[in-house]
Amino acid sequence: MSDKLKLYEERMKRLNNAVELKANDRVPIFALVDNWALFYSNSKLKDAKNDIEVDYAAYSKALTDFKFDASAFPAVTWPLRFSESLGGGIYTSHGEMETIQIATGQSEIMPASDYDKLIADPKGYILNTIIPKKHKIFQEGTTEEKFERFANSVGEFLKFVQGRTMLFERYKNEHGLPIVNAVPPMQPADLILDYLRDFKGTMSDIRRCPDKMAEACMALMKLNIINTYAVMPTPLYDRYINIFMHLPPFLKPKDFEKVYWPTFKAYVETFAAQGYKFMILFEKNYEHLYDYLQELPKGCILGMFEEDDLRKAKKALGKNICIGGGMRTNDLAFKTPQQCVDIAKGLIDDLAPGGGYVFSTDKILASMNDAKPECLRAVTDFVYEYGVYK
Amino acid sequence: MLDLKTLTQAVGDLEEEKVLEILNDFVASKPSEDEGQKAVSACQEGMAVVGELFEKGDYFVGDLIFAGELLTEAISLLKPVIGTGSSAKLGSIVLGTVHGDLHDIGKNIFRSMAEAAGFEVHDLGIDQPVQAFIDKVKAVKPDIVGMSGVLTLALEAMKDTVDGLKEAGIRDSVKIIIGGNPVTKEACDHIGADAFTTNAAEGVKISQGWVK
Repeated sequence: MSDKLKLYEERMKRLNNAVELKANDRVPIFALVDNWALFYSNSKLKDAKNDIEVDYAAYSKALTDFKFDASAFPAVTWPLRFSESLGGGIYTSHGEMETIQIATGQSEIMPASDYDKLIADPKGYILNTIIPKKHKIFQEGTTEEKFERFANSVGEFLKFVQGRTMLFERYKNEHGLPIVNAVPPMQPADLILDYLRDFKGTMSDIRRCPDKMAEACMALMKLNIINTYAVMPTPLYDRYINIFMHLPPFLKPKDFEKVYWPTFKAYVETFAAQGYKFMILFEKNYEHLYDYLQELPKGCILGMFEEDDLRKAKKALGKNICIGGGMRTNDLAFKTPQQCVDIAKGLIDDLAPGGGYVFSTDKILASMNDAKPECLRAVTDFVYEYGVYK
Repeated sequence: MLDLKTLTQAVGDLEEEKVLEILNDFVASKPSEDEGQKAVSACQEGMAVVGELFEKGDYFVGDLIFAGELLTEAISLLKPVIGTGSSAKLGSIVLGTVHGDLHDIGKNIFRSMAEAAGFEVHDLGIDQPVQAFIDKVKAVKPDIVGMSGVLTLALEAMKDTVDGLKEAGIRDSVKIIIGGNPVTKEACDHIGADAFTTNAAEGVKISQGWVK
């Protein structure tokens, strides 16, 4: 086994130990790096989206210049060429910002009166009603022309996926760096929010027809299970099912329990029972939902928290979930390296004992403002030494 | 006769059916314009109740979004009664998401709560260049400028905007509040704004404090 492969196994074991809440040699350092990598290596998003070598050069520099044990993502996270080939989507690369963002207020595509159709046949409804309505390429020309454009889009998507698969291997062989991200379908209520009903529609449905929405989520969840098997037929020791949760921080517990929790719990339990692991991004704040989250299966979830107080989170959830995050991008952007190291020391002192903690940033690094490189270097160097379990 | 307290309570509780029922009955009774204004005020007070429940942690952002919808529905029902006459405004705000940033959920929540609190809000929209803020401030001479953004890069765009207002010589004629996911005390100092918040209800309170 080459040195790089040995390093890969060692790092993966460290991360898995943390997730399984087992004793460890040191606290794993986990990279949540996205478009920040482009700024860091003076690359442009428009070049990276067109040339996987530019993409890889930028991200692999950012991921290996710092002492990361593993990374969530290998390169630019969204298939922009695919979105663009469909005539645009909610994920967009606004020229000026050089970073991918979601354009809001454009996704109320399904009327609330269509819930019954969505429930009866989620796949058929999305394919035959939503997609033609959403994407410009299906709105003009002959059927033949539409198919041709669709085939082109599918080609772009497959190219993106194949490129990512190739990069996983290159990171492994060239850098010994695990990239744990495996993308499954979105959670049903998040899909409704992001693609079918948008914010205003979703929040109105939760008030006006919560039972229909919950029923639709259950129908979509069954489809999700099938689609997840398509992406990842068996559990792998170095790939985690990624779940990016969008809707829950905006809901009060009572509403979360109605429309989100039943499908989310069922989905996680289905795959946990078979040995799959998860990386879940708990975006914004989840403190009001700890009573639910503590019922999640034990030793298979890396929970990356954003605005939660991690000390409270570990106390409430640490028996089941490995807690990740803690280093605020605001501190990495505005404080000195020494101040950042002091904060990192506090995190290790309070969160590392007993295992089940992964050091990372609170947010995905999206733009240069999210971290000064010297601060990121200071904290990763520090945790590499100080995070050793003695 | 319209029971104003019940109406305020129903808006505060986000009971859509009850609010619409009360208002439909009220409009059918052919009320005077003055009575109509009172009904509007009662709804707006309901929005203040929503803000309080949000600050207490009983309501979440989703409830604020729905409250904004409910208030819009209620006011449009009352429009024929209140006519075009406008009531006295508490103050005025020029509001927008800064250049480069396409997000508007937070901005829209702040707008509906600020309007309910009695502000006249000039909403520029998303991705607004510095010049758009300058032009609008010169045109309407507001008390307050509100800048919104979600990306951390928006912080630089907010700084550009404040610098632009300074260069145009109008920075000191307004109070500036910034809002959105990435704003912090450090960011606020860096940008040169007067206040920051990640909480729309708090933002409205800060704004009210400025125009007292």
